[in-house]
Amino acid sequence: MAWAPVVWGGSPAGIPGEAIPLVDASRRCSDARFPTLAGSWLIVCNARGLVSEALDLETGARHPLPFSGSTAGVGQSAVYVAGEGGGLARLSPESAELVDDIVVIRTPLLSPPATDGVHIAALDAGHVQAMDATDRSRRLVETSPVGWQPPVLAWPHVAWAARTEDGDADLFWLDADAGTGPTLLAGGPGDQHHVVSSESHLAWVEPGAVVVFEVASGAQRRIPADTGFSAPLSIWGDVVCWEDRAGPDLDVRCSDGLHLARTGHQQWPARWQDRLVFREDNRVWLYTLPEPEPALTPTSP
Amino acid sequence: MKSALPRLVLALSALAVGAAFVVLDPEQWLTASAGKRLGIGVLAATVWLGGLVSLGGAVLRRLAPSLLGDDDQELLALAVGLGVWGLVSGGLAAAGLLQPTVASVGLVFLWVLAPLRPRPRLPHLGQLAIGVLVVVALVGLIDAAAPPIGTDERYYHLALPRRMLGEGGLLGGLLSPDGSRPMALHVPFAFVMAHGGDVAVRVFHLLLALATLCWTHVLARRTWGHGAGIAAMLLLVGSWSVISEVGHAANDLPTALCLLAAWSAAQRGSWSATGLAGGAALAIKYTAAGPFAGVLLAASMSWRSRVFAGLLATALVVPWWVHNLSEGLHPLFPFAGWPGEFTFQYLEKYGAGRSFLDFVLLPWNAVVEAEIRSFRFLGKLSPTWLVGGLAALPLLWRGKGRPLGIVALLTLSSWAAGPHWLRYLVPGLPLLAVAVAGVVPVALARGDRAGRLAIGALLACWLAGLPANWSPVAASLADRLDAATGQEEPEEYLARTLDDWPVIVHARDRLPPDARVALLFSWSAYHLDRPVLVASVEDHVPTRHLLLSHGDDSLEVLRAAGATHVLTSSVRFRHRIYPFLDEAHFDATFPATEELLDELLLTEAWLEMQDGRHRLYRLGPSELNSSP
Repeated sequence: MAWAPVVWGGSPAGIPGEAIPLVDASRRCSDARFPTLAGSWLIVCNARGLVSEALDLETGARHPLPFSGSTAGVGQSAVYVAGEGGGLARLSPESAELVDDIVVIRTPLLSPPATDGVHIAALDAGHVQAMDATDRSRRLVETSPVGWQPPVLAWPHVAWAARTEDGDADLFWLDADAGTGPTLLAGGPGDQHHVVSSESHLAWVEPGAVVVFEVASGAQRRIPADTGFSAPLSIWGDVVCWEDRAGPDLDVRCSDGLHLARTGHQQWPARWQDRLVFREDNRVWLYTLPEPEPALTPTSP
Repeated sequence: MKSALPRLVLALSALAVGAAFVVLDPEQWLTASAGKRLGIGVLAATVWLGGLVSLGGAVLRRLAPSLLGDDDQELLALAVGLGVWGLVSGGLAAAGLLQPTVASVGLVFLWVLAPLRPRPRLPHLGQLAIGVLVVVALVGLIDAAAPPIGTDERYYHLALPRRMLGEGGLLGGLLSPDGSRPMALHVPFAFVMAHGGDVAVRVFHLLLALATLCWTHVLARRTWGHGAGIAAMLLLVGSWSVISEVGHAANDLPTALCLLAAWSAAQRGSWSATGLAGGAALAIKYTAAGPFAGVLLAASMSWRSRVFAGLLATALVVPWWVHNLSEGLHPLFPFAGWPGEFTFQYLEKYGAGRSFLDFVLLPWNAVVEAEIRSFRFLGKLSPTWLVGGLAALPLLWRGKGRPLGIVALLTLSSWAAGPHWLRYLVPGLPLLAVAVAGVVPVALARGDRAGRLAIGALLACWLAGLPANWSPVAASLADRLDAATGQEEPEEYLARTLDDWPVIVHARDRLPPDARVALLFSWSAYHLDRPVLVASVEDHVPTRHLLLSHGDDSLEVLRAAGATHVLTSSVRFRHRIYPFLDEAHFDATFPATEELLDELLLTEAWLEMQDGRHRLYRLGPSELNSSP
């Protein structure tokens, strides 16, 4: 087994075709969803289990966050901790920049908030809130969230899982700019839940499958999968990864064909480009896809 | 009548002005909601206590009229009433009648007996004793008014009454082992809870604790004379293991109350009252066996009467054994009779060792080395016990102290034979306090300077014990005061103090109303607003036994028993807590069970919520979320 702990210091992380343990990132977090990726940034915890630091897979940069929290909302190179003492940070190779004068959400939240670095969405006991991070106005819509599972942003769209009268979870979404009420995104028998988003796509778990949804066109792709039992999905662009328990132990599968099957359980996938962060035996690992074979150069006549 | 009127007017005026002061307080130091909770709790607890005194008085008038007329008459009636009601209410619970309406009918029945009881006669207490009781009452009221957060209340003393009320009857069995204990106190707790919630149960316990202190005073004074009463009280209230319990729901001090009753009746030759009170103590907590054996041995009655008293006491416990037998369990389950090779309790885990030398040093270690948050003794006593106990030895060897010496010997030796947690000694502590308190009047008997010096030194020793015994209580009260008065909302307080509160709130607010939650490696039964299975006790025995017995089928067993969800907490058992077990045995019976559960939950269940080390899972089979 390769054992090459990553040293964060100015160089890209990962060895193509290999999985390496990320010793620096393996502190247990209060929220089991962390460490996870915010774009290329791995958001990790301190000794108290609080989300507190960002490590860049792309450049090797390492920044303490200007705040810490038991949980956080993450987006493309952005981290948001709700409440007093929280804040919104935009991550760049140079710094973790604290965004000034953002809206502070004071109501107790049922789940981590969501952010894309500019906007924020959150779920309290009876509402979904959506807002521009620095704007004093917000959309407040009544709902009955399932709890623990965060909302997602593909601005102006906000999506979340809510409990319906029959006790199942369905997905709802709204256009925060349009001022219209929420509409059903995905319903039907069983739970539709664990929704995630990239800028262009949403994905979620439904009974026996993962669904990938293109926001602009409304096109859906259904991928059979036995998931949704623990970790949420991970999405990068239109590539979705999930933990799968169809086999003898838990593996990680991705919609682009990646199947990470090692001895023991592989869990909590987080995907960015050709990198996959996952957890195995209480340790965080980084797997880098093999570099593609060089294309054959046509011989000149 | 004319002379009484001004005093009645004064009393009413005082009550009215007091009430107005609270209600009209512009700063609302006691909020309306907190005042209402406390008021209802105090009212319900007091009415129930009065009902039990009526019952006990009526029984005593019929069975042992010779015991009536002394200044401990009401205390004796309370203990006997508690014992008889424990048996009757246990029968109601076994019949599935543990319901609020039955509670109301039962309470009315108890008060209907009031005309059959003797004329009330309250004990005479000095001003100092009343002052001590007032301080203890204030401590207890603050504790009782704030939400419960103690482990024992959350899994046992409040959880079981609530669960039994929810189910309408007794619990028990391998999947609910806490309910297989004798419930002679917890069924009455459930009836009190039906009228006043958890605050009423804790105020009810507080009243029983005050009665215990009061009676300790009365018996010590009666046995040794002036000075002994207050000394016995101070011994008890100067000990964290006693004072920390008064405002909680617990069973140590109620057991002690019944043992005091058994002692008092035994010394006056009533086998029936001795048997009733002793049986009540045993049916509340088996650790009463040692002190009660001492009570019988030292009793002022014939051997034939002692046998009758013992048989009567056993008769009060037998129904609880029958309850277990009817479910195919060992009569003493869950303390014995776990199927297979399974140890319920490792005695070596507690105290400071079990070698001969350790037993010789046990009194010293139990007083000086004890820590309130350590498995060694899990409690704290006043250092005065040590010096007072030694000084009392000559008194307990012969004469009027000899019967108390016998009780003390049986109490201490039975405790030493069991697990060395100080809480297991608490049921016998009041009798020990009565025994030790004889030192004070003897020292003062000559009225010389040496005697006063000795008493001053004993007082200094008691004061030296206060920081260690009262500081944790004071710190806890300071933390709980705002929650008790309503300055801090109960939910905020619980969120601040319980690390599994987010998971409990999620379960309470988000699970279906018909959900049934299996608590595995978790103590959180009380606050969870759903029927529960398994829960925990002693080294998480129920969960470990389930997993060791059923292995990969464990979750299936829970599903078959109706569980729809699992709430679990990471324990991370450490070998250093069990150094007496070889590593392979430890690994196989402790960490392996947690690993097996994690594996089963990962492969068969659905994580609904996680916060820190606490997780809530939905159990399948979920035909919708399984692979096609």
